Amino acid sequence: MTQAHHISLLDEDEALSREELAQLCHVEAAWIDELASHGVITPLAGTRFSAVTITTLHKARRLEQDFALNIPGVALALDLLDEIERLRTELRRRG
Amino acid sequence: MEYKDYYKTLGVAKTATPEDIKKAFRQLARKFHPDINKEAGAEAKFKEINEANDVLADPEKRKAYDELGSAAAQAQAQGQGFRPPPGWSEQHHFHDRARPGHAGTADFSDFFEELFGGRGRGGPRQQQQQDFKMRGEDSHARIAVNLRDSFAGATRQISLRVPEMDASGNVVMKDRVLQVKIPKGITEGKVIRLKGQGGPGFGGAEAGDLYLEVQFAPDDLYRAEGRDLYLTLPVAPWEAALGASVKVPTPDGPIMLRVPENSTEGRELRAKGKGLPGADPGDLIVKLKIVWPPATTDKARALYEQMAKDMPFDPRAKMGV
Repeated sequence: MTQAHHISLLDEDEALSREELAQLCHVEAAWIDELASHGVITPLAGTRFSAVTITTLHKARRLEQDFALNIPGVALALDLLDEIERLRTELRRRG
Repeated sequence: MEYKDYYKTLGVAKTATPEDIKKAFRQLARKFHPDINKEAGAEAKFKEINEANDVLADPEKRKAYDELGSAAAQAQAQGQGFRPPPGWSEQHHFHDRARPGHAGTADFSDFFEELFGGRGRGGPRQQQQQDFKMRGEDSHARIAVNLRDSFAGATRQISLRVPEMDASGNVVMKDRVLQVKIPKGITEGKVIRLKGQGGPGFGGAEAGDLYLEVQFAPDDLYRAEGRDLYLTLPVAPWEAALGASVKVPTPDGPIMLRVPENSTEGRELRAKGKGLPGADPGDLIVKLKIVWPPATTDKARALYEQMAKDMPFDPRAKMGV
């Protein structure tokens, strides 16, 4: 069974309000505010977020649920994962 | 069907206490969680761990699984494959507990489905859900794309095991093939959203969305970082020393690049705009690697001997020896 599908690319330049983001990710807007207050996500200008934030929110949600983390724990895990990714890239560059 | 040794999956003994199992599961989940472990196979391993935990952490399911016991494993070892004993599903009714977020609800093995599955195979839960509406879950997967596909765009076929509603409203696992259009200029880490291709909704509610995270398959020549491409270019010693115009491959066809004279090993040259395409295209960063022809002929040997004689050069001058 093969079919073509409606696809869209999450766009860095597409700005979403926190309400739109909350609706897309099926989370409370307050949860988004809390992540933002820990610097996990950063609004573009003002209060709108880039559409690629969706990926971070999904990841934060999974880490929160799968490891029973609180928001500071999620923030720390995401920072460490970013750092590992940066070091891996650096390693590949030298290799 | 293949018999699954859930104790082996979690690396615990058959006599393990619930605490042992919980601890083993948590340790393995931390190690193989797909958000943490990016290696190929980690996601599959994570699913196996979740499946094993789903059974062993539930006293009711664990007891039933143990009852199957070694007879089933033996049949498997003798190459007979695994069949649940007759009357199994009449004797056992399992209720689904909520599972952690990432593993989602579904894609457990056939072995699991046969023994503990049949989500919504009748039973009280389903009755209650008659007039209950809930949007389907969003699902996530990674999609491997050739970085060369970023230049022209491409269509990729991907296979997914997804939960679907059958005619009588039961959730069954189906293998589904999707054609996904890879847009031109795609970069690693970009996410493609397929609307309505996630988990099915309940009670006529809409399905969730499917998110595909793009990963580049390893390429023989290029490595991508954002829109920039990295290429290691072998050059002859005389090209590096004297300077030369050399032909350099790019995914979009070869270009000519000027190697400045007295270039050293590891020097990086930048070909502007020759990286991945886009409104602001990336660059191709060419790293020079000087390779030496072996002295296998008299002529080559004579040339090396002449260099040794006529060129005052001590590569170890700074080592104090």
